Amino acid sequence: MFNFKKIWSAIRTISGDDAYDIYLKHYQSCENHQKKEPMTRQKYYLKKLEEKWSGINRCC
Amino acid sequence: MKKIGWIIISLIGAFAFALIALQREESINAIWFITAAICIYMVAYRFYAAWIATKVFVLDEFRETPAVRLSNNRDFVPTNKWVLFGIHFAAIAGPGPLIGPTLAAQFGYLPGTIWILIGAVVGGAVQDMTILFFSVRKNGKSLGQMAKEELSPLAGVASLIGTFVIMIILIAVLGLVVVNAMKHSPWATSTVAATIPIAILVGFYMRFLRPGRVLEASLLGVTLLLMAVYLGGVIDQSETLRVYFDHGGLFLAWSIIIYGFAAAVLPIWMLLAPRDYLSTFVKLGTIIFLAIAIAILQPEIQMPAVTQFSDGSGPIFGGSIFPFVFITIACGAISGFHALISSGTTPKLIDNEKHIPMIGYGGMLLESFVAIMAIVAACVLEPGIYFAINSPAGIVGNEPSEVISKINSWGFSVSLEQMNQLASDVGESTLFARTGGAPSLAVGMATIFANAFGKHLLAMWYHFAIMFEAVFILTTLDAGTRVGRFMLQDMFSNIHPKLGETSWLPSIILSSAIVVLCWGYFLYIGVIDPNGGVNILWPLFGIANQMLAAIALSVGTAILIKTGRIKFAWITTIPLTWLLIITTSAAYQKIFSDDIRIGFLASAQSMSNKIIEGNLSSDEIDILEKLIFNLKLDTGITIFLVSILWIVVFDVLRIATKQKDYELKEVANV
Repeated sequence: MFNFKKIWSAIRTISGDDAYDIYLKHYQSCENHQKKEPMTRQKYYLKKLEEKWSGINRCC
Repeated sequence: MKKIGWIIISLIGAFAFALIALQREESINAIWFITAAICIYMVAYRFYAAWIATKVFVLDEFRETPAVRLSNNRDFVPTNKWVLFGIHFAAIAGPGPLIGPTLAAQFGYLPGTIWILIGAVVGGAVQDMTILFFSVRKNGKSLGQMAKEELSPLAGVASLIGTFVIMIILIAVLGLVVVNAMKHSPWATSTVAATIPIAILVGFYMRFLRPGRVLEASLLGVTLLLMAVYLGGVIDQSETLRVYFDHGGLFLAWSIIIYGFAAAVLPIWMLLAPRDYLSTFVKLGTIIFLAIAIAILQPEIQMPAVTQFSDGSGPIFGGSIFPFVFITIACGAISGFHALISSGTTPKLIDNEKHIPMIGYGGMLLESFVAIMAIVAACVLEPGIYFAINSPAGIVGNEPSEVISKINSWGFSVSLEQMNQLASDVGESTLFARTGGAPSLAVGMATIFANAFGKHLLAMWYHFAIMFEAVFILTTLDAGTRVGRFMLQDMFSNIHPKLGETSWLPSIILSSAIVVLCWGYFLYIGVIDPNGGVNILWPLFGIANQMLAAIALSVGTAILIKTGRIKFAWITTIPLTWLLIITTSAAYQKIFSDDIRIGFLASAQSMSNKIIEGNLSSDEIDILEKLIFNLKLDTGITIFLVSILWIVVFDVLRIATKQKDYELKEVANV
């Protein structure tokens, strides 16, 4: 009936819980050749926060 | 087959809407509001939004969006449409659609409901989608940039200043709502206070212990918030502890001002980000819960369709049904603020143009649905109780017996025992004069929840609802102060480049302090105003927000004309014309009305007369003088906003009458 695994993964994606995993996957598939280490989980989290809150992103 | 389905949905929607609009004899069930709303949204989305998308915008799913073309893993990121819907909705939906409809319920359930439904479908959702579309076609330009390039440099500046003014007034009025909810309520105050360390704890968890684990951190936080609601009740029971949290309005206002400054200066990860996650989860949960509870319980609407206050004598705010219902309910029907979201962040994340209707139009419909639930929650209360909670002392008096007889004289039955019983049921010492909408919304929600899920827990549900609104509002307060700060720093960078550096501490402190002082001033005045402050601040916010919506629609109209779509320009000019009428007439009345509850100048005059008459203590004179100054300031702000609006509208007229072939400034398709 319900595909709980799929629902769970959708919830993770929508909430941003798996953002780092997605980043890593993306990194491995396209940025590998840049010879640059991927960001750590913590660094990635802070970078994303900084980007998210540096403009108008809340209103009434 | 599909056609038949849509015909049935349209018929059900029309039937439910007609029932709401025409029912007079018997009371009407809340479920019809939900039904009418859902059916109208579905039909509008399927037909109007789809028509705009295919015929007016001619969305092209094979055209690369800026997110794809300029993808840089920073601000331009192609995003899954459901994720983006979540981001967009979280950004546009604040406390506005909860407060406005609650206040506007003083006119009865009908005016607000009609405006929320029609305003959203024809106005708000069209505005959001139009601005989103044009911003996508212009590489994610902001509303200010588009106004500057498509209308005039003056229009660009106007939209910037307008945004700043709205921000300040919005934060002040939200602060006032929280203050009124916490005033002399140890339970509410301690719970709201507890949300701060909880957010910080969650912030540290997500920063150091388990970076970026949003779900588990939020689960932890929400659990702690629920415990805080429970412990607030324990504190309220304890004679020794409750005194620490029992404060008057002024003390609370100062606390919020200091808190607002601290929150804006602290790093994002510590307070703002975790609280934002918590508020999003609590908000989603509560709204879904409320919808389910209304569906299970199917409460009867107690409020009359239209009350006698449509003539302008309403206790909650002065002003007649036209234009003030349209000013009071901004968010939920049409909100200019959304244009900033639709033109800033969201267009840079859109993966494919065909997602535009769902995100732009659909996001607004969901916000409108929140507003419908807020008006239902206000209208399932007995009107007597609703007015007893929401009427300020300046109108109905300070003595409970006085308040009761006043409200009874309006024809709404409520008794002192009833109010005392209700107050003790929800764990408050009194519910009289708790203006601002939050407490009455909380009572409405608590009643619905308690009836659907357990009657004994009324006090818990009430304080849960208060906590929910407060978390929500404090997030907006913090984020709004930051936005104001960025805008100021941007302006200051013209004076000295160093001041424009968003990470330079002295600049952060200076600009944050200025923003906090601005809204802190209005908050302070709102607290000392015996008429509750909401009477002045909320309409001012409404006018400012609708003015920004009119600017956004003007930008939309100008671009429609310039891109050869003039025959479709009515999609934006119809709501634009309506906004022009309501903001201008509301502004006129707010300034020049002879009624001291409406007109700023008349009110200032009557206060000066009181001072001249004498018989006042020096403290009272001091307060009156501050209020008079504030009324004059508000007059100035209103004149300023309306002038901006008309300048922009004349720009649009200039463009519309100029017969020339405009060059297409969209970014070429590649």
